[in-house]
Amino acid sequence: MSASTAFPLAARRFRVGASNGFRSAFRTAWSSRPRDRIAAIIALAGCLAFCALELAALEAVLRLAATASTQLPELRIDALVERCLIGGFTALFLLSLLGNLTTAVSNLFLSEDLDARLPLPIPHRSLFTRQLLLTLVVASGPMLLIGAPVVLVAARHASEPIRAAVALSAAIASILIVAATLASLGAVLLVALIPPHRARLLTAFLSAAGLAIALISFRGARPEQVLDPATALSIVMALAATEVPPPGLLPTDWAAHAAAGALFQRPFALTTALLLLLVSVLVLLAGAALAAPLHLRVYREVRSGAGASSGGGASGRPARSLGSMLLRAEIISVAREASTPAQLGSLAAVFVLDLLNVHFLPASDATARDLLAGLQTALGLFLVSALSLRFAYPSVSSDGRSASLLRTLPLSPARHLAARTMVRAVPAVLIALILIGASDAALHVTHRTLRLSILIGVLGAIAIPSLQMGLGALFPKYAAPHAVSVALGPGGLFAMTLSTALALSAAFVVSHELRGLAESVSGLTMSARTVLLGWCGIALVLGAVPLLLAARSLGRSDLPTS
Amino acid sequence: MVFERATKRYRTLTALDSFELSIEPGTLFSLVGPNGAGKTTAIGLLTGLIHPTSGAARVFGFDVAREPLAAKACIGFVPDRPYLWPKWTPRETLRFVGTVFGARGAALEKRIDNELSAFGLLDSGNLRNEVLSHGTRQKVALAQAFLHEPSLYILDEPMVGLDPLAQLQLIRRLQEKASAGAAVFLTTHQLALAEQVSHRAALLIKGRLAAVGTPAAMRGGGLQGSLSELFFRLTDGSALEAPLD
Repeated sequence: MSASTAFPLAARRFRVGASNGFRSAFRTAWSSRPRDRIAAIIALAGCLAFCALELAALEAVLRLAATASTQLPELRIDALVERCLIGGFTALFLLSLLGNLTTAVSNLFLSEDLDARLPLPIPHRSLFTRQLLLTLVVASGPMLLIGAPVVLVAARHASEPIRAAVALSAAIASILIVAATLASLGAVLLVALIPPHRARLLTAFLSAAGLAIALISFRGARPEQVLDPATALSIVMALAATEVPPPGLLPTDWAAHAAAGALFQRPFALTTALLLLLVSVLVLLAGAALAAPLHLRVYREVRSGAGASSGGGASGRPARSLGSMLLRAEIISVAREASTPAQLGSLAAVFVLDLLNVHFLPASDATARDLLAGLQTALGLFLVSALSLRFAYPSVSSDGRSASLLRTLPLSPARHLAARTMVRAVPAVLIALILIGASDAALHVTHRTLRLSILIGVLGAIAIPSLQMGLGALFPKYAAPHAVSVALGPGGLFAMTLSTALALSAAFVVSHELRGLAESVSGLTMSARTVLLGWCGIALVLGAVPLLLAARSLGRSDLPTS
Repeated sequence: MVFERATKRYRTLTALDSFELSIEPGTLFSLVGPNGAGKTTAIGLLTGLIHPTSGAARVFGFDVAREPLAAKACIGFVPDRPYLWPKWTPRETLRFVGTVFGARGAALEKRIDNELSAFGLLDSGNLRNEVLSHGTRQKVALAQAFLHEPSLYILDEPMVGLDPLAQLQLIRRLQEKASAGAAVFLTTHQLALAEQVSHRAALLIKGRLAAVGTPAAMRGGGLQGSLSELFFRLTDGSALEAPLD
């Protein structure tokens, strides 16, 4: 095939593939079922609310900075902004690298889509580039939520808005592209050494460990110091008193330099940003060309060796009753999911972090103790919420296509859901009790607060997994490739929004001080008893109603038969 | 097993239209038809995977949509593709299904061993389902359907993925079950198979029953020719006459 005919063919292939991909993504996000559409609308509203909050916070910080700069003329605002951008871009690069690594292993080695495309007469380099771009889009999507408001605010306050927006966007995009390319190359090398399922587990663990280290470092840096004006001033002066040295070899330094330059109208800033973007695209294309042959070799080796691996399942003991069989089946399913150890590892890291955090809590006066007891209860339930999103929400969907077999068995959906919920709720209650109990002990709270926080903790730790289980069963995704991806949809966002709201609102039930604050802000009178009864009622409704609806829905809704 | 004017519509598409059929115990019944004829929809209605838009599917007097647990307790089902719990082993799969059907303890373990042995699965009984080949997973799906000795076997394309020996063994077991009084309802694209082993057969086209009867009656009655010829004539006669290009 000549180059003149090959190019239009590649272009046409790209157009058809992209068109199908967009339509498929749209169908996923905007399902034909009204129930899924409602969830999608709520999820979209949640994302918009997050962006609006970020916009408001950024605007407030800028107003504060403007006031400070008039009072402290020796401050070099451009240096402060560039150093903040260096920090932000470095964090963005590291987080993207870790996030892309897990996604790249899935997209490059565990994708059914790639399996379907490989036999087609498409150059492998094109396929590899496609999977790399897919990794970039999927893993960097959440970054847009954070990045878009930053670009908007920067453009609004810059003297040349379009120039600033383009430069900042180009700088962020170049960082994301380089991170995705490096992560994809890393994924190929990793799978050359260990099988893809284990590699995904390892990368997920690395991501979780990286996040935990970042959080612990952040905590170790004592961020509460900035609440002390003198310390805050010294930090700001350290960042803004001197000029930033010219960027070295790190792309993040160059990106920050270009973005800050565009914001402060330095010459060649926009050109630098666009050049960075061009270089990052070239890095992506060169990386794809370099890694594609190795990927194909590793992919074939992985596929040819896949059938040889043994499952090694133990024969187990005979079941004594249906109830014990259902519980055991659930435990087996959760324990053998490849991503479970990594996910549990990350949650354990957050768990340890929270317990370490207890040592830092200022328990000097009664007001602080009351306030912190409320916040720690909310934090404990928030962790339960995160656990439930991973382990309770995907439970029904994790049956996958074996659901078509399960539904033909004479097994009551309500009973099965109850067993599934129990397997998730019992550990959740234990975790909540440990977290809240440890905080209460460290804070030396009053008996009343202790009783209240334990009651709320237990009730919340039952209601939240039940809520997630019910919503997961109402919005099943049987075709999801693995449990983690089940919650990455409108239904998952809806469940996360509700359970997070329930978890955070627990702080107002436990803390008298927070209730007082809410009363003064809202102008409403809130007696402790009313708030407690109201919260318990809402928790019961949120825990029970989705489960009941799900039991009904599983018994009555159609399941795709083939 | 009875379909009473069972209709299933998906928006504008009618997958099954006023479908009427009854199968007596001791009958081995084959449902044939082109792709998209509604065979899997019919099976979905029988197994409770989908609900009829109107009409009903009954199993031993139980309406599958209204009394699903009672109806399902009589059924052994093999889906068209052997989707099994990937993280479980065949033994665990059979133990789960057996327990759901009320079997317990040593008796259940003995039955599991028997089924694993009957389908040649003893060596792979403790491997995870996800590492098994398509054919082996199909055997596990068959074993779970036979495990509780149901009164009605529903098999959707059961021969797909099985080697010739396993196909022959399956046919013999189904004939044994029918002789012992169970009803067997299977869909297949292997017309010769349907003709040879079935007591009765039906041809489904575009959601409607085009022909039903014993293979012999179909050949000798008003409907001339073999089941294969009948199939080609009623689905698209021109396909036979048109020259191969």
